[in-house]
Order: sequence, then structure tokens, then C-alpha cells
Amino acid sequence: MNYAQPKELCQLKEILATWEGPCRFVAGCTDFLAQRNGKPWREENLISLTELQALRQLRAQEGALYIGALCTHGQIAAEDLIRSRLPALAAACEGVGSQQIRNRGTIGGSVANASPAGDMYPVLLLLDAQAMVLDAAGEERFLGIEQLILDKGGTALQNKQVLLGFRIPLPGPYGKSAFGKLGERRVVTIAKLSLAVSAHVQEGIMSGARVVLGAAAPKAFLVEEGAQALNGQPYARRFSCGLGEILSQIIQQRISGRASMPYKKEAVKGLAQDVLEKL
Amino acid sequence: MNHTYIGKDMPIENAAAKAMGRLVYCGDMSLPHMAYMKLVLSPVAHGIVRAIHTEKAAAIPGVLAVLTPDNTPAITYDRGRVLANQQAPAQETIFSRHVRFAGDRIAAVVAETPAAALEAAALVEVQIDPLPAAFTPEDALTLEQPIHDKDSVITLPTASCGDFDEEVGELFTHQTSTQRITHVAMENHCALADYDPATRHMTIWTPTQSVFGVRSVVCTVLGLPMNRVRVIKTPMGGSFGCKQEMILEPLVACAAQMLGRPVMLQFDRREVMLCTVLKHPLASQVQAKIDAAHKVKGLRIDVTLDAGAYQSVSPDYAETMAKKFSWVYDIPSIEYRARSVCTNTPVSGSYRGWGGPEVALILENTMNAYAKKQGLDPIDFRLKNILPPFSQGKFISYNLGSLPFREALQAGRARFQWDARKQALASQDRDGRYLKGLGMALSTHTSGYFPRRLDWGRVILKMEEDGTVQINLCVHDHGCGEVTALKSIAAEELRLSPDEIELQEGDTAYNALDNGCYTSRSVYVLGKAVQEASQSLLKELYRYGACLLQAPPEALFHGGGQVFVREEPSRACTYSDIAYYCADHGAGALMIDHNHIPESNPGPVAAHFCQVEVDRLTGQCQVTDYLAVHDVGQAINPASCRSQVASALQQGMGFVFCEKIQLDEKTGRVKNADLQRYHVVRAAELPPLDILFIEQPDEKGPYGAKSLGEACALPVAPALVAAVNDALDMDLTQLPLSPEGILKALSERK
Amino acid sequence: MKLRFILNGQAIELEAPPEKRLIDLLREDLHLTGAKEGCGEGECGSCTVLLDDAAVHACLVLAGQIDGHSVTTIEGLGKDGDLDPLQTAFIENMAIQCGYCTPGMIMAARGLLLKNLDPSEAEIRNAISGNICRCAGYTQIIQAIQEAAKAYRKEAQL
Repeated sequence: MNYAQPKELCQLKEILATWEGPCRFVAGCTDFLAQRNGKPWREENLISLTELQALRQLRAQEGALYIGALCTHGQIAAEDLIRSRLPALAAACEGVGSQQIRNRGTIGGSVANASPAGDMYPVLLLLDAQAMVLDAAGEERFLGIEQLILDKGGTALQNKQVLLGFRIPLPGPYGKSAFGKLGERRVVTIAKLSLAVSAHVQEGIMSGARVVLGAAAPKAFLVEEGAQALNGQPYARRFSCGLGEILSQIIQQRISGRASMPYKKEAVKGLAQDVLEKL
Repeated sequence: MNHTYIGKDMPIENAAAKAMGRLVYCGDMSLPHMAYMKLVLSPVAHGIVRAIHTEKAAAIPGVLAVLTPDNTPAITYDRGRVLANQQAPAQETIFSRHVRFAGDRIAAVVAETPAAALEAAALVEVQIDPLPAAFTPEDALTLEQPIHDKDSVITLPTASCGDFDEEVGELFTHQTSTQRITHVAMENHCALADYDPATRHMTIWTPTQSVFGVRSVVCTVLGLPMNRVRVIKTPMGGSFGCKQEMILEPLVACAAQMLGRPVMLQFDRREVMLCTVLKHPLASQVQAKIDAAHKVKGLRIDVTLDAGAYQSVSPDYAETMAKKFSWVYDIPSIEYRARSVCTNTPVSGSYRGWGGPEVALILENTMNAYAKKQGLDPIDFRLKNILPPFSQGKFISYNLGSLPFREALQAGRARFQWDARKQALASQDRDGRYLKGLGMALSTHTSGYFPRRLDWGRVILKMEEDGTVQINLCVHDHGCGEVTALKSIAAEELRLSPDEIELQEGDTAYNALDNGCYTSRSVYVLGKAVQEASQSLLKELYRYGACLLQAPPEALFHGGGQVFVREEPSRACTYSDIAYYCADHGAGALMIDHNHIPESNPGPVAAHFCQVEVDRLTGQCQVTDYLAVHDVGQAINPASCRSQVASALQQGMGFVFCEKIQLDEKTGRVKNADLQRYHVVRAAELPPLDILFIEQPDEKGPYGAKSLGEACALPVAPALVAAVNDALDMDLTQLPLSPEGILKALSERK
Repeated sequence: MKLRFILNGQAIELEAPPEKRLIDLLREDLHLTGAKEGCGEGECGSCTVLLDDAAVHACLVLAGQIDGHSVTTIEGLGKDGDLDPLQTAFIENMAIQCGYCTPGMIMAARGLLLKNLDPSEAEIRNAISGNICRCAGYTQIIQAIQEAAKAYRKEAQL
């Protein structure tokens, strides 16, 4: 097995250019090793990204926030800028696993793992994020987050393509966002359902709303009807916009055959109430 | 009564070693030339293994042996049998070509390193011809070919007292069903065996609840003489019943004998959840006859236990449940029918309380449901029906002890502010999202084996020449402080500090035969043995002290490691002086060999009260308040007692709300044999816990102590279930009360 | 791979496969068996150690990833033969029963106190939510951590 732990981006690019065969990139390994627990495993090429300090940076620039792929959930949840401007992201990061997981697990690792129950993708979709990808030729390009995740699961990343980070447009002063998830327990739980909501609230009226439903389908998705129900409505009466009902209908349509549907179509109403409370 | 050590909060005696991470558990051990075992398990729930291909596995560097049904003993044994003369179903072999559940043992690899063993085990290829499989007792009863040649279904003879049909009263029916759960002791099972072919001596290290049980099974399977098989109990990282059966030890002993070197088997969490033991799924029906004065006159109970793939302890479990229905309420007629049915699922077995929690759940669910239906206060209903103090047990007649049911109920009612809470909840907004409910439950348990079987505590207490003490007693501490409690008892009697007393745990080379750590007997039986032996030792100390001090024994007193003349304390000698005197002029060794045979078994009463809040939109429940009232007789170490109660609450909450082993309906495989998908209650979800100990000393217990370890596990589930049913105004009877289940019940009601 | 890292305050060098798990490196190669494997998937917390002063699951860290960093295990707590205030507090508050969760629990608590010398009860519960204890019920554990926090604060003032 070939192993590398590049410290600089130029070293990473060198690996991408010269190494042959399937390359497995790992970060905090909170998914990678948990999935291999108890089984013998082997990778031809294993590259840990954990030493790339360049990918652990968080910076605001020209109205957007750049989050390196190696930023941990704990780091993101504690960042003042994110807590104030992107509360949905802070909340999602705060709710991932336990403190130990949050100290290691990364936003890039979570997105690349592309679990249907993952908490990062729904929020990144809400926030209209773009993914920055490095390819084998050493080129960096942006990819809309929705294109990065495939409908049936997995990512669009090819061999020797690495997720470098995310670019998130910063909402203006009137932007609000919130995230919530419903699991088996109240803490340290994988989402059975997750909900992310954002809106502009100016003079008490909501506009430009976005609603994302996660963990219900293999890929989290925008709920147009939900956004429409909120747009133009007073923020103070957001609980009476029927968001819960709408989400319930959507769940019945989208996952009608699944055993979990009867529960989720009801429970989502409670989740909607909780998330609107946080908005 | 104010004691020096009894009744005082104390850290457990090896707390420092644990805090430093230096206590050596079985899995931390390392012996020269130690090899590692990894099991090969059946992926199929029922089938005959046609072929086992081991060549690829054997070719992995470091592999020492591959054990299969063909090169290991085919002797059947029972994993629950402590004494070889006990009747037990004995359906298992070390490895089997007839696999009976997905997880059953087919083979094992032994290698120089754990990594090699893991890799090689994955390369063992098996071909299995599947057989029709059944995953529920109902399906098992329809199988053309039963799972075992005999005893696939064990129907117990009906146990009864009085005459149910003759009783006059309103007929009230109820039912309760429970799910499969795993113990989640933090230490995964581990066993280490070493066989020396030169001396033909086998040594086994294992965190077990019965060193003699392990020895007995290993000797049966391998045909070894008991005096050359030594079983040593290692520190236990929790058990709750999962380490009382003999599962790993026969396997490592067999491999060690085969190779003539040490072999360790360390299960991972998945293997613990598949290959050890799970709590029985249970279905029960109850018919009660209750008269116009709300007195329960008759109970007819029917229970079906899902034994899993092998009967092992299940028939015994089912059988002991009968009498437990007669210990709380004064019910003249009780009829109990039960059957233990094998299915092609992981083996069911020992769980904290040994059927007691199930009985408490079935009985208290019935009582609470009836009270609710009739608009009776649940506590008042209990007060009408409780047994009077010192009642005799039915089914087996013996004195149940002081049974302070009334005190427990009344104290709990007051302390929990039951009536005020009831009033407050009566005016809650029933259309709101959150609904609150109150629940309570009452139970009792055992403090030993008497009179069901002979019980005894055989102890050797020796005083070393420097005045320190060693106790030789077959103790199996789960980690909950049994050793500390026993040392405190000796310390109190001898007026030494517990630090001057040493007590090693179970070791078949040095201990007298013992029943094992079951039925919460450690304090009541072993503790009493220690107390009596200490008193005998004191007699010897006074006898020789009298010689040394030239004063009659009656004039003597003891304290601070000395014996002295009461009226003239300066005339004193140390215990050490006496020990040397004994070696020069007395019997030689200053040692007591004492056998305590109990003739009593008081039931430790427990009453739990709780308030919950249910979210009608998500189905999630939060326990907001909890009070546990416990009749401990005398808390030897209150801090340990409080921990016991707290752990019972956490486990009980899991049992009620979120713990469940999920089986694939088609394949019978466990879907969630890992802690990500098997949910336990976390620190942030526990309510503040109030605990009240009622200390009415039992006449025969050491310092009046009864038992607690299992007793606290009994009323948790029924109290929580009652509270949820109160909140929702429902009668949910199928555990777990998952969010899905609650929402489903709510929507069906609409 | 040659690993160079700080282990319990001492610089050490060790040859090991980079893909080996830290928990196995600690227990097998370094004979530090304080960290336990209770689940292997980052759910139970009994393998908790500090990696650069942050609590992590040793079962989810690759050996290669510790190169150039510092690892602290339970065996590294305390100095000059004295126990760390956390260890003393756990003992004196009767926060230890079977002890299997204890090393991981103490390390998780230390991770918290290194960032926050005055945690609220909610913050403590949150910090240890990744550690399962089935024997003791957490009340005494939380008390112990609060007491240790006091001692840490005192030390910080000196």
C-alpha cells in the first residue's frame, strides 16, 4: 500500500499527477474507519489530507465565505462568523456526532462520503454553495453543490479528484437560516430527517426563502412549494404558513413505498415547527 | 446506628488503578507466545454446512491452526450450567455443522497476531445448504423439522396456586410484549486460556460470573480433571448478566489445548451482539379477576419466550418467573403457563433481574392499565393489594421478609409530590404539542438462592502475622463494588481499615465451590459469611489476647488493630502480637474456615415514580423527573447503591424507548449489530434522579443489608410505560415505545 | 512508516504501518492499554485520547496521521507521581464503577477543561455525550468533572 500525507498543495498536485491506480483520499476518518471496522481492508493508494493546513482555512472574501474541506465540524461550529451569518451551518456542525467526532470529522469528508443521512450536504444546498475541486491535471474548478452529489448516492468526483473546499455566498444583513434534524435520540444521532430553512426578513416580511429536506430521499432536495409558502409572509406568522403540511405531502409523494414514510410524514411537522422556531 | 465504614460513601477499592488506566482487564493481558483467535460465523440463519475450505486461510502468514467441527470435540454442553449434575438442555457444541442462527459458530482461526487472524478468518470459505428457518415462536411452531432433535419447544408444567376459575371478580385482560436487547456492557467479552502440555495444566482467565461454572463446562467438553483446570476471574467491565454464561471459555481452552500455548479471544462489539446472549423477546397474555373492592383475586398468565437458537438458560428463566408473580400482591389464585421456543435467531439468555423485570413489566402494566381504566389512583390501588409484611411466598413457601411496600409507596408518594403533580397535569392543554404523564411501579426481588436451591458462602479469613487480613471467598465483582462492600463488612467487625483487608476475586485453585454471582446474593449471602467469619476471628483474637494480656476474654475490647482490656486500655496488644503468639503457642495459623448457609431470603422492595413529556408531533419522549425508592435494609456503600440505581434507570429507559436488536425479516440476520444503529441513552438525555433508601434492617442480613443490584432494574420499565400511557391516554403494551410506534398509535386513534 | 510524535509529553520515534489504527498502535506497539476498544466505530468513547489537546476516538485515527503531532493518553495524566485533579476527583466523587469507560471519560473531560475552565452542567453533559457509561449513571461523573474544573481554575490562577 502506498501512503502519503502531503503538507503542501504542490505535494498533493504532484501525487495527483504521478500516482497510478485508484487513490483513496481520507481526512478525519470518522466515516472511513468506522465503515471498515471489524473487516480486513486494503487500499492501493491511501492519501491523508489532514496535514494540508491550506485546507483548514476559513475566510470571508468579496461577499463569500471560503471553507477549506479539512475544516472540522467543531471548528466550523465555533467560528463566530459562521454562527452569526450562517447559523444553519453552525447548527448542523454542532449536531454532528459527539465532541470527539466533531474534533476530527471534516466538512469535506462528510460531503465526499455522501451519506443520505449526512448533515452537511442539505445545509450546503440551502446556502447555494459551490464545491472547489482539484483534478489530476492540477486544475481547480468550481462545481455547484447539487452537481457534486449524485441522485442515487455518491459523488461526481472521479479518481484523483480532490475536494478542496466550499464557497458560500454570504447572506446580507437580513438573511436568516436554521437547521434541525430528527433522529432516534436527541443527541449523538444520525438523522432520520433533516430540515434546513433560510429566508431574507426585511420589514418583517420573508422573501427569497429556501427549504431543503434531507435524509428522506437518497439525496437532499430543495422544496419549492415550501419556499413559496414562506415568501411574502410575515416572519412573525411563519408557523402558520403550512410548511409542515407541505413537507408532509412531499414526503408522501417522494418516498411512498418506504417503511419509514408513515412516521416521517407526521414527524416532519414537528421538525418544521422546531426549525422555524430557530429561524 | 452509626458505623465507621458501613453506610459510608466510599470509592471502590481499585478506583485508583482504574483512574490511571492501569487495571488489567482480560483483553489487556499479554502472555509470552500468546496467539489470537477469530471466529468464523454462519451468515445463514439455518442450514447444514456442506464444506469448509480452510486452505486460503491456513496460507496466511502467522496462522497456527484452523479449528472446525471436524477437529474439535463434538460433546454437547450447556452454556448456562454451573454444576455438572444440573439438568440443562445441553444443545451446543464448540463448532457446528448444523448452524441455527446467523452468527452461529462454524470455525475459528488462531494466529500469531490479531490482524492475521482477522484476515485469515475472512478467507475461510463455507458452503451451506439452507434449511427452512423461523424467526418468531409462532413460525417456529410450524416448522416441519424442528430446530433441535429434542427440546426445540419446552412447555413448562402449569404452575398454580388456589383456583383461578373459582375466583369471583371482573375479568380484566391485558398483554405485554418485549423486544430483543443487548446488555452493552462496555467491556466486550474476552477469554484467555493457556495449556501446558508438560504439566497438563489448563489456566483460563475470564471476566465471568462463575469461575466454577466455567471450569465445569470446560472439563465436560475437553474431558479434563477439575483439579488441573484453573479458572481465574479477571476484572469485569460490566456484565448485567451477559458474562454469566460459558461462551468463549470452551473455545479458547480447546485451542490452547490443541496448540499448547496461550490463546486469547477478544470479541468486538458486533460479535458480542451476535454471539453471546440477548434478552428474550417475550409475549404475554394476562387475565386478572378483580373484585368490586378492587382486590385482585386471580391472575392467569401465559408467557412465550423466544429462546433463540439454543435453549440454554431459557427454560430456567421461564420457570423462575412463576413465583415472582406472587411476591408483591396478595393474590389467592395464580396460574402460570410458559413455553420457551427455539427460533433461528441469536441466543437469548441471562439479563439483569433474571425474568424479574419482565414479571414486573407484565404485572405492573396490568395493574396500571386496570387502575387507569377504573379511574383509580395507581398508588391507592397498590395499597389495597399489597402483601402484608412477613408474608409467605406462594409456589415456594418461605418468609418474604419485612416487605415495606406501604412505607415505600407512601414515602414515594410524598417525596415525588405525586398528588400535586397529578393535579397540575390534570389541567394541562391536551391539544398542545407536548403532553405530560405520571407513572409508578412496585416490585420486589431476591437476595439469594434460598430456598430454591442450597446456597452457601464458604469463606476463609486469615490474619497475617503483621495484623493485616486476607479473605479467601469466591467473589465475582461486576465492577459495582462487591469487593469493597465485603471488605467494609470485615473492616467494621474487626475495626480495621478496609485498606488492611485484601480480597482476591474468584479463583478455582483457592476458593471453595460457589454458586456464582447470581440472584443478587453477594451481599446477603457472601457478606453474611464474611461477617460471621470476622466474628469468629474476633473470638480467636480475644482467646489469645486473653492469654497475652492475662485477662478474661469478657474483659476485652478491640479497636485500632488492637485488643485491650476495656477498663485499662493501656493493657493492650496488637493483632500482630496475637498472630505471632498463635504461631508460637496457639493453633499455629490464625485462620477461620466458615460456612454460612442462609435460611432466609428477604425480598428487597422497590417503588419507582416518574414524569414524562411526550412530543405528539415527533413521538419522542423525555423523562423529566424520576424517584427511586429502595428497601435496601442497610446500604453498605450508598454511593455504589446510587450508581446501581442510576444505571438501572439508564438501561430501563433504553429498554422502553430506543434499544432494540433489529432482525431482517427475510434472512434473520441482525441488522444493527453496532452501536451506531443500536441506540443507548446518552448522558444528555437522563433526568435528574432522586433516590430514597428505606433502611429497615433485615434480621439476618449483614448489618441488615438486603440486595439491590437487580432489584433496582425491575420497576423502571413499567413506571415509564405507565407515564407515557398516562400522557397519551393510551394503553401501549409493546416495547419499545419508539417514536414510530407512538406516532402510529396516535394516528390510528384519529 | 517512521512516526515521530510526542507521546505523553515525551518525543518518541516508532516504526509502524501508517494504516494501523491509533488504538492498536497504543495497545499493541506501545503497551498502553488504558484506552479500550468498546465498539471500533467512534460511538462508545472508551478509546478517547487527546490529539493535540483535542479529544478524539483512537479507533478512528490512522497511525500515520499522528506523525508530527502530540498524543496524550490516560497514562500521561498526572505529574511527579501525583494524580491529575480529574483522576482524584473521579475517585473521590465515586464516579468509577467497573472502570472500563473511565480512561476515555477522563480524557474527554480533560479535552473539555483544556478549552473551558468553567463549563456549565449542560456543557459537561454535551462533552461526555460521546462516552457511554452503563454502570454509574453520570451524576457522580459530572460532579467529579465540576470539582476537577475548580482545581484546574485554581492552578491556572497560580
